[in-house]
Amino acid sequence: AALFIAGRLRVAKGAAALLVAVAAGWLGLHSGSALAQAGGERAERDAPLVDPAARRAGLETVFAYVKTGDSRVDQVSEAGLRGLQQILANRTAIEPGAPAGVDPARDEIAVYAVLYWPITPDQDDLTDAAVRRLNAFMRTGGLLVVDSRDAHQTFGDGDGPNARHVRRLLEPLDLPPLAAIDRDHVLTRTFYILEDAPGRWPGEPIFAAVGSGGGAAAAGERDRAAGDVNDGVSPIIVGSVDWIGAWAVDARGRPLFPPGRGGDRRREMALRFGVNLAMYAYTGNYKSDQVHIDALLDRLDT
Amino acid sequence: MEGALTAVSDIALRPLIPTAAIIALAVVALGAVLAGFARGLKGAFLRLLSLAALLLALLNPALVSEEREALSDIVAVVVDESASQTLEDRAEQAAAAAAAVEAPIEALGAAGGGRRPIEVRRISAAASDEAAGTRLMTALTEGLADAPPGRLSGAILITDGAVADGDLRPTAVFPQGDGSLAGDAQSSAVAPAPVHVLLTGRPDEIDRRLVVEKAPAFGLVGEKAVFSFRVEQSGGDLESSASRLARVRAFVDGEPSAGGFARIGQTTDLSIPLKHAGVTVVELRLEAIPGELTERNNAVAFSVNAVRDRLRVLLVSGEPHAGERTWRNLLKSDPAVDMAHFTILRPPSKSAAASPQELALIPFPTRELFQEKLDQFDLIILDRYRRWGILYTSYIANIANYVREGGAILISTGPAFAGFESMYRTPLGRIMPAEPTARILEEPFRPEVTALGARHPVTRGLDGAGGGGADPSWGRWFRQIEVAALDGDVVMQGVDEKPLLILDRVGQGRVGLLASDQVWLWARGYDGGGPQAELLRRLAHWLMKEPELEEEALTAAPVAGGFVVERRSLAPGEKAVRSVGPDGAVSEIELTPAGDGLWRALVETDALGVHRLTDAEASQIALEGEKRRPLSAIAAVGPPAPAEFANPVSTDALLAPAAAASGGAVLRLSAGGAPEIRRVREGRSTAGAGWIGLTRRDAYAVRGVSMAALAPGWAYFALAGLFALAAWRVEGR
Repeated sequence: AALFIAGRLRVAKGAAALLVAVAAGWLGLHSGSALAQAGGERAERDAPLVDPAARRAGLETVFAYVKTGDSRVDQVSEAGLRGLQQILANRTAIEPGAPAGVDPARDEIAVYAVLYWPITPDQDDLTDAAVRRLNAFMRTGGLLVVDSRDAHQTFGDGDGPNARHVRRLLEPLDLPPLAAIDRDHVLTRTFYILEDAPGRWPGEPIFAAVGSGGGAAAAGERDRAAGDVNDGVSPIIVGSVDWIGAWAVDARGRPLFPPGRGGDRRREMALRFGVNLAMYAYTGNYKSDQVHIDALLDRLDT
Repeated sequence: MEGALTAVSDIALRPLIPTAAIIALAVVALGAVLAGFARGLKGAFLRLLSLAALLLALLNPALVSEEREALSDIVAVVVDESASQTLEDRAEQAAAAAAAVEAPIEALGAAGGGRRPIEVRRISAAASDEAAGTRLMTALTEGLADAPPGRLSGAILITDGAVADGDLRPTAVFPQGDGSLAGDAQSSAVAPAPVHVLLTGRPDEIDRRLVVEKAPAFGLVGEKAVFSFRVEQSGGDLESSASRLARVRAFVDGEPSAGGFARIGQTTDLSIPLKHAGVTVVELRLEAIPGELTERNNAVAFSVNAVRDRLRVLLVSGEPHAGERTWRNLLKSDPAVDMAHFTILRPPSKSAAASPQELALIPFPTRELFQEKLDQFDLIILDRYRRWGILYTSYIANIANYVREGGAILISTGPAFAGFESMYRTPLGRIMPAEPTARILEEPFRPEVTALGARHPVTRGLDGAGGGGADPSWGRWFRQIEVAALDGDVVMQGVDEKPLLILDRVGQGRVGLLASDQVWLWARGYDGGGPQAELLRRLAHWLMKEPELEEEALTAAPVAGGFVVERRSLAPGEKAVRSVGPDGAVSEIELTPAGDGLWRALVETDALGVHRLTDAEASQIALEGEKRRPLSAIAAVGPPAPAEFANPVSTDALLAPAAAASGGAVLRLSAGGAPEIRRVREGRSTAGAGWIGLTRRDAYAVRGVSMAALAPGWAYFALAGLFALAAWRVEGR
């Protein structure tokens, strides 16, 4: 009974937060005079006004996606992160709010932990402001997930049609050296133990920063990369299997796309990867530390 | 140089024609004369003389004469004016002795109308660098740097004999360099000048001193630091067993700790438990015996910096959230910290919809952590932890007890802290410094450091904190859990000046409460970001009782010519400390404000040794619980027993070899005053009963050389003519 009540309370709080956010949004839209009416020295001192979206992300767990300008793709992104939101709330201690779409050229992105970036061929090159924001985002511990969504269009082990756009769009960013992750990478065990990370398309290599996998060997590689303040957590994950499409659900929580070959099991695996991705963004190398936890606990006796 | 004189030193030949031609002429002349002898010429001998006179004229002999000037002999009088000479009446002894030898030397120089003058060089061996000890022979070397060995008549050292460079052999005194006597026939160098030593002090002096053999500079908290020392005694009777024992007392951080008898000359080990992190000052004091020469070498102080092996931090995150990696990045990058981290990834109420084999989740080892090994941690951080039904109430009660018994907890709250699942509603609530009001304030605000916080080491001088009327320049936060402070120090505040960061002491332990989960916004650089790394690092280390972050502290650090006293305090006002010098002199030191919560003073002193400092008002802010050491500090100025006093007993042992090698004497002034001075010729004995000798060098300088022909040219011809005439007369008869 206690847990039930607790659950209800959380829902109530969430609703309250949403109300506050809406109110803040309204205030934001009617800046100036409305603010002056709300009065208060503090409000004046806090000018310029806080972006309501940033504020919401500061208060609750919000997953963000990069708006591509292609409304169809953006709708799928929204639906995908909503699907991930549901799964996380149902199965884990993370209880996210509704996802947010952002334009790195204009919007505040420092408040998000995960920024999902679906690549489309007609996206314009990043503006200087976007480059600056994305670099700061990655430097301070954000996780940028880049998805070319074209694994079904590759033949053999070649690049898909979006690969050159991935390179074009990422080129101006400060990126660490990337490598395909192996089965020991912490991303495969931040929550679920994963053999594979399919999306709408079957598993393809996933790229992450060299040495970001956790463990002793990775730590060694990491030490060589001086100045890392993020505990060796990769600031970027690059894939091509359209995870966000596999997570996408409609307003009633039903999958938006057929799971393809592999059926519901593949969709389940895609969702589990989504859970792991979220855990990686929030807990970093926590699970790779736990490999050593027994040794640490044993040492406590000494 | 008054005694000028001229002396013929040589006869030089200056042939008028080449020597070979003269020899040829001589051969011809000799042949002619021999022929004359063979034929029985009566005048042959006279012919020989005549020819010889002509040849002599060709050789042209000349007289060489030098103009000489007598040079004074040099006598060095070296007076030891080092610190050890200030003991008892040594300084007066030395001054009297210097006067008593200089006057007769001048008299000797003036004797005989000043034809053999003596130059007295007075050399002071002041201890410019007391730490290095007296460098008497160095002073002698420098004082005689320009004196030629051939003029050095002797050196008289007036000293207590406690010198650091007794084996130095000045080349002016020992031209051979190695001090071997110039009995060696092949050595053409000048014989050494006698070095006489006139000792100040008494022959029956007694001194005991502490000699440190081993003093570790670092140690681990909870372990023992082992020091080794011995007591040495110079002079005095060591016959009876009682006289071979010395009473030594140890003081740790100014408090009496141990005491006992040490056998003189034997190494004694002393184990001092290091009870707290930071500097532990250990001082040993040797009890003086009656008649002891000085007590300045009866105390030594050393500091051991105690470090904790590894600080063990248990981070328990109630849920994965944006701030979790802020904590992880902080604790994992801190080389002093070993972190154990647990996160509730899935609450018991939820299903992961997977078989256990497919899950990387491990059960939270609650029993092991909160029952068995809790006391092994230095700090527990509850990061947005809530009552998930995972920790038994008894375990949570264990945490509260662990804190009271000297542990530390940081409660980094989240929204859940305001509600039903609040950790305040557990046994931990009783040690918390603030109570949630159930309100969550969700509006943008800039955290501020309170006036108290500006003086607190955890929050003092943070980048962007503003202060002095200026608003903070760091980024805004969005949520604060409203709490009512019950206890402790509110060092930061948020919305409407409500408490944001509260620090408190509970029992022997410490509690920190951060009434917001938004510090990660600083880490992410939102709205300009903020100094979260520095703030959280200090917060964690203050909780773990890092001495450098103590609110009330008194420290002293030696600097050149004194020491610097620093006082940290949360209480504003004037600060003063009481200082007890090595000689027991008590003084009050007024400290001047040096910024928020900081007072400082530079104390200039030449009193080498241990200065004990205590807070004058003993104005400890009543910091409840947690055993407080009295605010005291120890400044050890200079080496605790400088070389000067390492062995201050007057001794002949160090200088006797140099004296013996040069033919000098070692005499105690206390035995019969200054000795008679005599001038002796080179090679003669330079010391005897009641007198010391100065070698007469008779050195001179050549001012000029002149030459004069022995006889004018006509005189040779007249002589030759005379002999020729005589030969003619004899042969013509």
